[in-house]
Amino acid sequence: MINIEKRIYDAIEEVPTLPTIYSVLSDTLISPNANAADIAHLISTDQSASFKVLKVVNSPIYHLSSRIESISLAVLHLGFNEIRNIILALSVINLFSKKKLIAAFRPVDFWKHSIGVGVITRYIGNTLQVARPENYFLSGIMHDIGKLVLFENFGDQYEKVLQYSEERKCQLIDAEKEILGIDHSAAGAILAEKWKLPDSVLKAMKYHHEGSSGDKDMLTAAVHISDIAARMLEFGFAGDDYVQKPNPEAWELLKLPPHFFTKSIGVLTASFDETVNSILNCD
Amino acid sequence: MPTIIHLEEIVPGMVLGEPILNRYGQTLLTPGVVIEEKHLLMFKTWGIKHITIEGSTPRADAGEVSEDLKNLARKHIQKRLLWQDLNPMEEDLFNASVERVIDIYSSSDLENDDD
Ligand SMILES: [Fe+2]
Ligand SMILES: [Fe+2]
Repeated sequence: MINIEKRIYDAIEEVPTLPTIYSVLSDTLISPNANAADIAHLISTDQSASFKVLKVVNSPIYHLSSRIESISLAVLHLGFNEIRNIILALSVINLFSKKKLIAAFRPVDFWKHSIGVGVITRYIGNTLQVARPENYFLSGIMHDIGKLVLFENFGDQYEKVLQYSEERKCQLIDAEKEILGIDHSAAGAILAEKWKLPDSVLKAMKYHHEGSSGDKDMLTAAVHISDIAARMLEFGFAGDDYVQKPNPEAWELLKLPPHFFTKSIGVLTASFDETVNSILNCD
Repeated sequence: MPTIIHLEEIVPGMVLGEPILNRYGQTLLTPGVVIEEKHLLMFKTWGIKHITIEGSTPRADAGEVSEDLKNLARKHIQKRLLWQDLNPMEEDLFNASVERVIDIYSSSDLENDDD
C-alpha cells in the first residue's frame, strides 16, 4: 500500500496525452492572432466532433434562443472556451470508453453518471450566472475519472473494492480508501495535473466528495451537489448505490433558488437524455 | 375505464385497451400490449391518430399518481440515503427524485430493483 501512489503516478505516465484536436485548439487559443473563424474551421474539420458538439449545445441546459446549426455560431454564442471544453469532455469519454471493464462496472453506466453530473453542474452554473461557466460541464464529466484509472491499474483489487462497498453498504470512495489506500478523487487529481486542466477543475475533481476545498470554490460545491443529485435522480450509475450527506457549506455557498430541483427536473431530465443519446449513441 | 387518447399523449408504459386495426380490419396490436418507444414510430407510419388505453392518462395530473407508487418511490430513494433530517434544499431534491423515479417506474426501466 505504501507504493500505491507512486504506481498511480507511473500508470498515469502511460495514459495517452489528450487528443490532437484539443492540443491544437489550446495552442490556437493562446495565439494572439486567433479568431473565431480559425477556431470554427479547425473544429469543423472533425465531422463527428462537430456533430456531437452541436447536439450538446442544443440541449435545454444551454437554453439558447434558437437552434444552432454550425460550429461558428456555437462559438459566437457560447465562446471559444466552452466549445473547447466540450470537445475535451467528448475526447476523454472517447479515450476511455474503448477500454473494457467488468460487468459490475459498465462504462456506459459510468459515463451516464458523469454526463448526468455534467448536465446538472452546468445548469447550476447557468442558474447562478457564475464567472467561468465553461468549466462546469467539463468538471462534471471528469469528476470520477479516477475510478477508471484505479480500475485499469488495480483491476483485481478493484473487484474487492466493489465487493467491500456492497457488503458494508458504503460508497466506493470509502471502500477505495480502505482497500487501496488511495481514492478516485486523488487519482483523478493526478491525471488532471498531467493534462494541465484548469486549477478550478482540478480542485472540483479532488474535493467532489468533501464538497469544499477550503476556499469557497463555487465549482467544487456545484460538482459535489450535482454528484449527489445525479445519484438521487438515477442519472446513470456511479458504481455504488449510496448517497452521502451533502456538505452544508456547499448548499450555503451556492444558495440555489428555492425549489430549484422540482422546478428544473424537466429541463435536467430532457438534457440528460439528449446528451446521453448523442454522446454515447445508445438508447 | 378505457380512455381514448391522441397520438401526442401516448407515453411508453401505457397499456392498450382496444385492438389497433389497419384499414383492412386486420389486427396490428392486441389489447394488453404495453406501449414501447418502437410502437410510437409504428403508429406514425400507420397514420394512427388515436388509440384506446387502459385506465386514465397517468400524466394528466400529478394528483392521479397512486399513493402506493409514490410510497414505493420514496422508499426506493430513502434506503439509499446515508443521512436523515433533510434540510429544505435536500427535501426539494428528494421530491424531484420521487417524480423521476415514478417516471422510471411507469416506463418500466428499473427492472433489476431488488425488493
Ligand atoms: Fe466520486
Ligand atoms: Fe460521482
